[in-house]
Amino acid sequence: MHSFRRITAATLSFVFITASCGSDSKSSTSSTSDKTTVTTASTSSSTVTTASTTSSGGSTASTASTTATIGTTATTGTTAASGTTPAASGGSTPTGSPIVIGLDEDSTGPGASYSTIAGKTIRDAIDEVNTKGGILGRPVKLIVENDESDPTKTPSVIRKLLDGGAQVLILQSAGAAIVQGKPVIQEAKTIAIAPTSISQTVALAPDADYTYILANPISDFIKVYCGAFKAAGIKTLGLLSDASAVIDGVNKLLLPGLTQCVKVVANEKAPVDTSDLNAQVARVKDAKPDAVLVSSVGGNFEVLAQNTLFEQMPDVTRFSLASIGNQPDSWKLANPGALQGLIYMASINPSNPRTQELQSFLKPKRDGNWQLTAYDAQAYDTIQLIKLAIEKAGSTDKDALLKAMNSISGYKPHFGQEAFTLSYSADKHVGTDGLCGLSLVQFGSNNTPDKPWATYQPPCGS
Amino acid sequence: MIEPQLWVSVFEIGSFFSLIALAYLLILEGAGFFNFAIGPYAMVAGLGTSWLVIEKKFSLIPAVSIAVAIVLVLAAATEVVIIRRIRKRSGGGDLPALVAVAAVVFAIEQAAGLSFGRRPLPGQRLATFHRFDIGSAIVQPTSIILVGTTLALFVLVTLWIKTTATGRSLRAVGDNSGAAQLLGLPVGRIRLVAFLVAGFIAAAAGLLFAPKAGVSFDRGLRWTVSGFLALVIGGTGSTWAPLLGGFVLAATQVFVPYYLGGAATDYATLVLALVFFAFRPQGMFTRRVRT
Repeated sequence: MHSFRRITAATLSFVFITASCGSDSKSSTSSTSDKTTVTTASTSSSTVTTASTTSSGGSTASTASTTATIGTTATTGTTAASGTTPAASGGSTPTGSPIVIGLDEDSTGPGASYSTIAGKTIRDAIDEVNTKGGILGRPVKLIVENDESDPTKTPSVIRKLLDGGAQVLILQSAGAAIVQGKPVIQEAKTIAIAPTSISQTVALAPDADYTYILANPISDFIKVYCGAFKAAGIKTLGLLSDASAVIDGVNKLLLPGLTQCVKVVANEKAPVDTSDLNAQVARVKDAKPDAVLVSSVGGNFEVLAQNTLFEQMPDVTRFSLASIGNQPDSWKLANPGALQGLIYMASINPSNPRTQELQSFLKPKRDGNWQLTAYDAQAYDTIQLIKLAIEKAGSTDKDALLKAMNSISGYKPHFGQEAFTLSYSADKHVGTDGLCGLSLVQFGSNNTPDKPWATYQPPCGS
Repeated sequence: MIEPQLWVSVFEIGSFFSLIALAYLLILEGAGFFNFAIGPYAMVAGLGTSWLVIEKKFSLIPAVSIAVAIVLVLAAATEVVIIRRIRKRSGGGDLPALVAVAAVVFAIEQAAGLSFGRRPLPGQRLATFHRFDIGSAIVQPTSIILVGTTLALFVLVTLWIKTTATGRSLRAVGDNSGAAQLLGLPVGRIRLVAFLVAGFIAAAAGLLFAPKAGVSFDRGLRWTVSGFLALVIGGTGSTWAPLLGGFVLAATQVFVPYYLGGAATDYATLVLALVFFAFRPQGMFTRRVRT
């Protein structure tokens, strides 16, 4: 009946079919999800409201509660990023040829859990810019592609965006993927900003003349973790990671630094879509670490890890990267109380007035359960930085734009502590000025972020 | 000593694998065909329910009902619209139908991604009560429901096959549909019933397993492969065979990473599959035939 031949034939047939369909499917996924989306002034001009400030001479002026200085010239009015109330402001309808921003958004791969959050805010920020008169009086148009955080796809995706007319690039993808696209960016001499990337490799040579990051990089994470471990008397650490390319890249930077201040006694990893982590956590437990650090892209893996750690190692201090704090949807997956005590690297500080303004701007656009994340703030600041640079350059000329970008100094972003600033120069493409773009926040008993960790907080200015 | 918590994992994962394998077995018995779309059926049930509850604000029972109904429609459509027609055209050959089913696997996954979104969603807990602590092991309510439902479904399927006319006809149709037709058995209806029951079991598996680690549109293929391996290991000789196969596979996937590290899991699973393909292709349970 159901003989060996039948089972073997079925297996072999399915393997061959799925192998061929698998590659086809990915192509078709890409073609579906890579569908270009466009946001232009024409769609947003209808939402123009009474302007509290006016645009003149093609450049937009707006009230600013904070001021960014560009080079040595302080320019009030170019700081939409610094505290205007977006909904209350308006401008003339932008005209002329659009300024094209190309967005590489991982909307379906391992980075989808955070890239889609940032992508949504990028679209909102562009709508706001267009509503307020565009940049230099010209509308802003967004074209979107998806590399699925796959390093092999990134160069061609970036090339496609450039061929589509992108004058500035936003790389909302994994650091490891962006690194593979750097030579294409360098050759094209096009400004590229990675809003949520924490990989300093993105902004360091080689091929980094045009790439920039906003968030505190891994090197800052290491300083903060080491400060925290020292303050808490933690001597040994267990590491539990997902096996995604994103986290492989992060760990390559993170581990060498951490081993300078703690002894890593366990280093376990599992597929990002695993259904069970009991074996890996049991191995970590056997190593008896003082604390455990979960290094993941967040999402289901992170929550599964925290559920399992909470069950098997309830008394051990748990740390995480930034993802879990920025993914409110994931908190619902956690077992009751499973996130309690978890300390994660946060970039949102509710006492920062600019953060509060951004929250007010985005809240009406989101559903009732929405919470502001660092991804939102970094995405919003990316658009403001692009606007700032283009307005300073007075055009989208590549050389002028590079010069303008490299002269941004003291920009006050919508994340981090109030005193936190971003500055760029020809040899500094990691924008952060100090550690206080970060803070360590602890989850409470209801599985939501509760309060800053009392034991240690990163200082400003170090 | 082995961590008791690892045994909890074996029971959880083993239950899920065995339900998927049982769904395979029913279609194999009733239609003589490997329906590799079982994994995507389970994914649709889990993801659809979560999407309806989280994104569309449905309450749980209507969401579950709609998701299961979608799976039943998919299962019926796979048989009536695709497999039956293709086998008829190809003179009953398996390969064209297998090609079609592989296409169905990817079509369902992509359709689910478009309909329910491509972000993983947390699975919905069908009931909440306090967890149990057994020694140093912690058993969550979702695990108890999963294991309990699995055992109940295996008992029900066994009774159905042994005590009802449709159940007994299932094997006759799967063994030789031509002969069954000559005997006057309603072959088309019995095949359809096999697909529907298998679809229901797959839906139950997806619903009950999703709360453990969430569900996303691309989980279907992985679940399909796991269930198929469980069937290969357990064999087709008994309705209980998938249960044993599921637990053996689960034990491999839990204990190998514990003793040898996570990197060894895929190799161990591959070796296990090759061993069964090479030395025990009929699986652990074989049917005894009187000669």
